[in-house]
Amino acid sequence: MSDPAVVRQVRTGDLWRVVARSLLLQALFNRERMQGQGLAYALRPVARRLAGREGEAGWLARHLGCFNTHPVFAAYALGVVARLEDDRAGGVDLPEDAVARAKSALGPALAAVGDPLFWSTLRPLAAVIGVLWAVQGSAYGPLVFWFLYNVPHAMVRTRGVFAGYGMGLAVAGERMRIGLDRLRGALRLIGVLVAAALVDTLAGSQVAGGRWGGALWVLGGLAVGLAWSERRRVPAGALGIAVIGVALAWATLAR
Amino acid sequence: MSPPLLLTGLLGGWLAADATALAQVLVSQPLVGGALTGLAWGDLPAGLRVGALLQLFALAGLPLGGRTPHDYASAGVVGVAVAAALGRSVPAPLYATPALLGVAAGLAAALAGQPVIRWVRVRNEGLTRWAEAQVLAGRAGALDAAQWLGVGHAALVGAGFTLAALALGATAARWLLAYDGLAVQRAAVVAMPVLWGVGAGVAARQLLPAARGALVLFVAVLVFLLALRLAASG
Repeated sequence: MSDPAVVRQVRTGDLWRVVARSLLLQALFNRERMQGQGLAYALRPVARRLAGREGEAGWLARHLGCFNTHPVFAAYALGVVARLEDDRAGGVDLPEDAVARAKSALGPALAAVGDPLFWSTLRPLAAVIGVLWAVQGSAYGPLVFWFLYNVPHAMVRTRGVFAGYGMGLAVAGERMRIGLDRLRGALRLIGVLVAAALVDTLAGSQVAGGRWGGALWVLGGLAVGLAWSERRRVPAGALGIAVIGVALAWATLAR
Repeated sequence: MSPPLLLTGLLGGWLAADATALAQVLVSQPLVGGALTGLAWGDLPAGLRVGALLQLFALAGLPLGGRTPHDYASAGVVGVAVAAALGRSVPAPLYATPALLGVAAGLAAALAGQPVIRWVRVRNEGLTRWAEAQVLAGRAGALDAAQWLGVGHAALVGAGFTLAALALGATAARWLLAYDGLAVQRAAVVAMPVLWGVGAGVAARQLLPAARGALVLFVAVLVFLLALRLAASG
């Protein structure tokens, strides 16, 4: 992979363009190809560099198949594919299906670290911190949420392309998985504390308003929410509408 | 079209695109989208409260694999816009009433928007096939055109759905208030704290690791914080 005799054609500017175009990775997301066409679209600057204006369509056609992973961690896959294609164009002897196999392996591997980190940990943690501010009437709540999520988002999206290009397939190794698992564990511990602080704030705001009953309703609702999360037989939205419906029925009939 | 309605349509389009098609910087999450909608309607407090509550419910869904998520991008806009529109006609002491109806409209929009998202994704398959045929015919530029058409399509459908859901939600909410405003007011006093609790429970479970010890730690910290609060309140 790091053969010094290989002449690399892809330039830093091309990788920056890949980063920018990765923002449209899911523009045509669908069940058939998922992010497949978005991947080809993001790689177009690399195609132009390696195959020229005449050959880029043929180059891109090889990348239109199905592909799916976490949309932010896809940056690593984009970097790796650019690297493998650059190596091949530079004369490295790679099997015909090397790039396709790399994509098939990278999709699930990157999703396995990206989905738990971003969707199950970072998004709820940032959201609950933002909500904590917002329920106290602070307009900074949405901003705090947005920045807490998007600083790591921008870092991974940018660094991923360059790290993937620099390290090739080695980028998605055991070291990355272990490091991100540790980070996730630490974030989740903070999450436990933040979630408790949110419930305390919600109950406390009822007590401060002299509504002790309201605080009990908050704690009752918490129990319902936790119990619902164990089975999830109906969507959370339907559960919320059911709560409102029961309250309306009670308020109408109890008069 | 009034400026708030126009801004609501624009926000609906932008946030629908952000949810999947464009960038995914999470302005589409109800906490952010709700605050923006609150600003558009001149009622930021409503945007913060309704947006924050819908945000907790939005955390229940994870956009994993090919799963079609519920439409919380539209939910944040519709919920806050309904609450803000009602807030103009309901006296200030009854603040919880528009908030409750806004949350109800937002949750209904989230559920109703799921098949719309599914339909957009089916339409995307057609655009994908068209682009593939063009690329195979040597026209690489079609890829760019198809991607941007996909973003535009998601935004247009999102804007249309948001405005339609707002019209329906606001009409239903006004009808409920006219039918039995007192009952809605009484329901809001009970339902809002319960909804906050349910939302917090949903969000907490999302954050807690699967291990039972995490739940025990959460309950212990919560009991400690509540005891501190009780002691402080005398």
